[in-house]
Amino acid sequence: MQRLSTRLLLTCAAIGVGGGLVFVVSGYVGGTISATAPVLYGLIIGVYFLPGVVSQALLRRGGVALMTGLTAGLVSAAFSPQWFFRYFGTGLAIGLLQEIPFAVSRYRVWRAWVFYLAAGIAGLVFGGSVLVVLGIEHFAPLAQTVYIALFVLSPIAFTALGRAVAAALARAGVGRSIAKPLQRDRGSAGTRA
Amino acid sequence: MDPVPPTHPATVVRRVRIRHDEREEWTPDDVSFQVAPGEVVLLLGPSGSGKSTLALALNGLVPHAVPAEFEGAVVTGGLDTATSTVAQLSEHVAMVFQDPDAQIVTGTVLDEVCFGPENLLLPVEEVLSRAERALRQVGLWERRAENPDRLSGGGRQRLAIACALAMGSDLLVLDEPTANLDPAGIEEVYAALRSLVSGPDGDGKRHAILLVEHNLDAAIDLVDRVVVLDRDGRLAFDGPTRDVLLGHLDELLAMGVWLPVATLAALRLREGGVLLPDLPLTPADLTAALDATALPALPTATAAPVTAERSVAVRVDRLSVERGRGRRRTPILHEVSLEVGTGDFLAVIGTNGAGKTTLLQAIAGVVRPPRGRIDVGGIDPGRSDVRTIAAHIGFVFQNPEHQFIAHTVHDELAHGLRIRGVDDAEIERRVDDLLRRFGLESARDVHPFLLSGGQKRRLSVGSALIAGAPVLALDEPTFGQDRARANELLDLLAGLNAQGTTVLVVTHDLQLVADHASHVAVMAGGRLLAHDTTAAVLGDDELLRRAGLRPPPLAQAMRSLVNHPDWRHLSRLDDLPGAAAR
Amino acid sequence: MSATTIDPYASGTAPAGRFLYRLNPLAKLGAPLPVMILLAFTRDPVTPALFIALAIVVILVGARLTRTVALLLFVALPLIVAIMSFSFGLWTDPSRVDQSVLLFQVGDYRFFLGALLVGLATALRLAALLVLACIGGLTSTGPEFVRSMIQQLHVPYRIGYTALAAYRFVPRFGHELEVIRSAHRVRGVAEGRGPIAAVRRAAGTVVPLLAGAIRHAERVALAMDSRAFGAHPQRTERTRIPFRTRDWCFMVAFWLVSAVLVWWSLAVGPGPVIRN
Ligand SMILES: Nc1ncnc2c1ncn2[C@@H]1O[C@H](COP(=O)(O)OP(=O)(O)OP(=O)(O)O)[C@@H](O)[C@H]1O
Ligand SMILES: Nc1ncnc2c1ncn2[C@@H]1O[C@H](COP(=O)(O)OP(=O)(O)OP(=O)(O)O)[C@@H](O)[C@H]1O
Ligand SMILES: [Mg+2]
Ligand SMILES: [Mg+2]
Repeated sequence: MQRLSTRLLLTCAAIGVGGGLVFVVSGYVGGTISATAPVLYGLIIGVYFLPGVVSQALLRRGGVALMTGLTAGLVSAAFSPQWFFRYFGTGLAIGLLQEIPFAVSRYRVWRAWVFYLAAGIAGLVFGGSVLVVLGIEHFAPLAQTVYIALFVLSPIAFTALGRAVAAALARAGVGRSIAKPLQRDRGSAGTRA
Repeated sequence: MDPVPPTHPATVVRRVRIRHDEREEWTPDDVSFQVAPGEVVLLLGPSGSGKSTLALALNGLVPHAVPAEFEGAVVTGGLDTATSTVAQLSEHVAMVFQDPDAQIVTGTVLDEVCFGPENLLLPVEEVLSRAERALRQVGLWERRAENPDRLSGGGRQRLAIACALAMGSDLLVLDEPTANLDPAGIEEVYAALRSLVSGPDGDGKRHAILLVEHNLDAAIDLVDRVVVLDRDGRLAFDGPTRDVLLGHLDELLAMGVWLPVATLAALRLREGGVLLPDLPLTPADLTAALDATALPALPTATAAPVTAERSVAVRVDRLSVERGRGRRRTPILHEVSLEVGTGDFLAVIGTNGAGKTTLLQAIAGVVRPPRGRIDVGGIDPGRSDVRTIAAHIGFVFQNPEHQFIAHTVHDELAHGLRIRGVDDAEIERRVDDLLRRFGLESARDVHPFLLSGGQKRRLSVGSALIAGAPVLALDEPTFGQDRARANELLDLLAGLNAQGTTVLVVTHDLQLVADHASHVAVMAGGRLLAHDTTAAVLGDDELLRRAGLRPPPLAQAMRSLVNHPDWRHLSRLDDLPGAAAR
Repeated sequence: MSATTIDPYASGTAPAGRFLYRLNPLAKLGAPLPVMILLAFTRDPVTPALFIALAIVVILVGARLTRTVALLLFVALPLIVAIMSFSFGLWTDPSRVDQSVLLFQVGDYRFFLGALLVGLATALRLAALLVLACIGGLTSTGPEFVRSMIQQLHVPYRIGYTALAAYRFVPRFGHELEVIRSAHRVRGVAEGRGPIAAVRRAAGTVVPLLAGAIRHAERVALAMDSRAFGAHPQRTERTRIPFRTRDWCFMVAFWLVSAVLVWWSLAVGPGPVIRN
């Protein structure tokens, strides 16, 4: 991975701060959900995908999801230290998961389906590990299905949202100078129409 | 680190052309000049001529960090910027930018100054001794443990200067360092700069300075030499301050470059038949020149037509406002009462934190005021819904981008009409009309964020106006803008005002107030100190002093006149005999 | 701590006699980490309860007991455990739990003591994770943590300092958001109540907010570059966050105590720690 310019790093930080504030809000929602209807917890997991998706869809460069995830985690942890691991760990882990599918193509393919596939798989991995902590084996089969399905669907929905935000930002001319130019060959379905 | 021999030019710019990615024009275009060690050079030019771009080229940020095409050569401290890294160059040239907040990285004043030397991998003792020296030079050593947020705007900008000094470079490049500051902050910054060039300072060397600045009145006595770029980014003039500014007056004026107010005043006087032997650059020069000249008696003050039944556009009655929650709830405005006449051009002035924004936002219903305290054209913004308020008063935010809500300029303007249920044909008619009036026709389908700074400002005024509000309120419309753009906006407002729109502006620029406002309200500590005609307020030194303000440059010059007592009350360019003759 | 929210830089002076503030943040996070991983696989209520007790003792001895902390540990925590035991209990499959004691019945649905105990175990497990994280979370600041990531974990300093700079964006974000919201409100964007209007309002603020933040970030980057940021692979660190003997002592002691607790719970305690 080539050296990231300061500009790129700080742009990711800015997106990460925005994401971190969203984490904090969703943290309260998530807290309420897990206290009352734990089966629906997967609903909000997608929120943690937002910063990474926005930065990847806007900038199309390697490492940006990790950097945004890291900042988002740190910033939200500063608001709620009791949830340090929850925020910092989740931010970092999801940032890392988001890098992998793009790293496989050596950061050359930025098509929409990669985003959605990545989100689905990461949701599954993540849902699986939370499942261990919650002791899902006690849940009724229907609850288990709903639980896992939400962990896959929510990231996909939030990925769509993140891509829409990135497209709106690109339309407003933001990040133009550091974004990797869209490759127009093979009719790649990019975020910029 | 070998010290650069002092005979070396601090920087040599040779035939430099720069073109930003996705741009057609080269700005600057084929520019050459030098800065000698210890010299203070002012870089002037109209907006968009490439001054900032050129400044960024001096330490290699262009082309290394900013994507742009670069031709020619810049040699700073003996290093060619094309082949050196920005980090290597940072030991020879240090930068201070316009926005103090965008230069702060760490959490304390001391950490901030140490940040640069630490990046240079200097030993800790050296880092600390440099930091101490730099902070003492700008007078911030005592406050080293504080969070930079707690410093005033001027203080933060002095901190940025200290950070630049701590890099140990011989050349300091400042790009509009005072554009975001109030008058007190501007004074602080120039006092710090003056102490740097007044002689060998703490670190035993005289820094060379390249200054980009629109506010010539503050800077002029510091400057040795002026370099001027023209509208196309080409080198227009390069020479000693007096020779350039006074020798090429007409060209500079045509170019739209700003001149010291004292010089402008002398030009007006010349038109009015008063010839001063030497054109002045500073208020003191002007005073001296006027005192040495015979002046005509002033035309009897055109007594402001005192219309008996002046109708009231905005009435504020014992308005008190509190902000914050719980224990941190604090009163911000104390019993402010004020009547703004229809057709007035009211300027609200005061130091930072005086409550100007709070007052204006309450009047326009941006932050809901207490009920029954405000009356705008018959409605109470404390009670009315957004649509009704918008039909009576338009509000323009300091940063136009904050208020943009649509994806094209056309929709941005149409929005205000759509929510009021105006029919489509009428919307098209009014939007087209406004686009034409504000010179935005060609930008009709452009995203508002992609407009130039001046266009954004016009659009934000347009969208506040389109609902047909008879009152327009603007919060620091000239903040961070150059004088040319500020003037463009002020002319626009004057035009609206002449057609009957009541205008309320919050601003720090007192010369601008003097030249455009009909009335002035002075705020201090959340209270209204005075509300009167512009001449009366700006003529009252004691009042301005109590409000923590200073008279505008022209008033300063006139105030000190010895031989012409009847001229002492003058504060606006338009009141000079020359202007009256036009 | 609320102070963290207001000023992430407020390092403050560590209160005397409170040892947690004087430890390396990594030690405070590393000490409970193995336990937290282990806890994820436990299913009984006793082991997490033991660790909740341990964590509370460590916090009470080693950290300042502010109002917020007291509320969190002694009011919020028990409340959360109570609610969660019940709700997790509700969601468990009644056919898989011990059905000997019926607590109540609503129509067809029967709530057994066994279900409540499963819920309690889950709730305690989550609570234990939360309190263990508090040991480090409550007593270190973000910047300290970032510095130790750079100094001990060898995270590239350019990334670490970017994260530090990001803390400065937070209050700016808050202020900008406030201004943008009132600007949009006076322009009559998505008026009305209800979640749909709220979502539309939020959507409208995202672009101006992020656009402003990114442009600000680009300017900060230029300012950092022109102060030699990234000049060398290393930079001088004036603020050392050392990893000292006392940090090792704390971690090893914590691990030993944890091992004893786990052993006790396994061998002597009321039930097997790790079941199914
Ligand atoms: N990052 C950028 N990307 C693309 N174009 C740019 C960029 N920065 C500046 N420009 C363009 O380059 C030209 C020169 O801009 P520059 O900011 O150097 O002018 P300036 O003389 O400093 O103007 P001002 O007085 O308004 O500050 C302008 O047309 C501007 O729009
Ligand atoms: N939302 C708020 N909560 C608490 N205090 C506030 C709030 N908004 C403003 N203040 C305080 O009220 C005072 C007046 O603020 P205001 O913004 O009206 O001043 P101003 O005259 O516009 O200053 P400036 O020239 O800096 O814009 C300041 O001390 C400010 O800190
Ligand atoms: Mg400029
Ligand atoms: Mg203000």
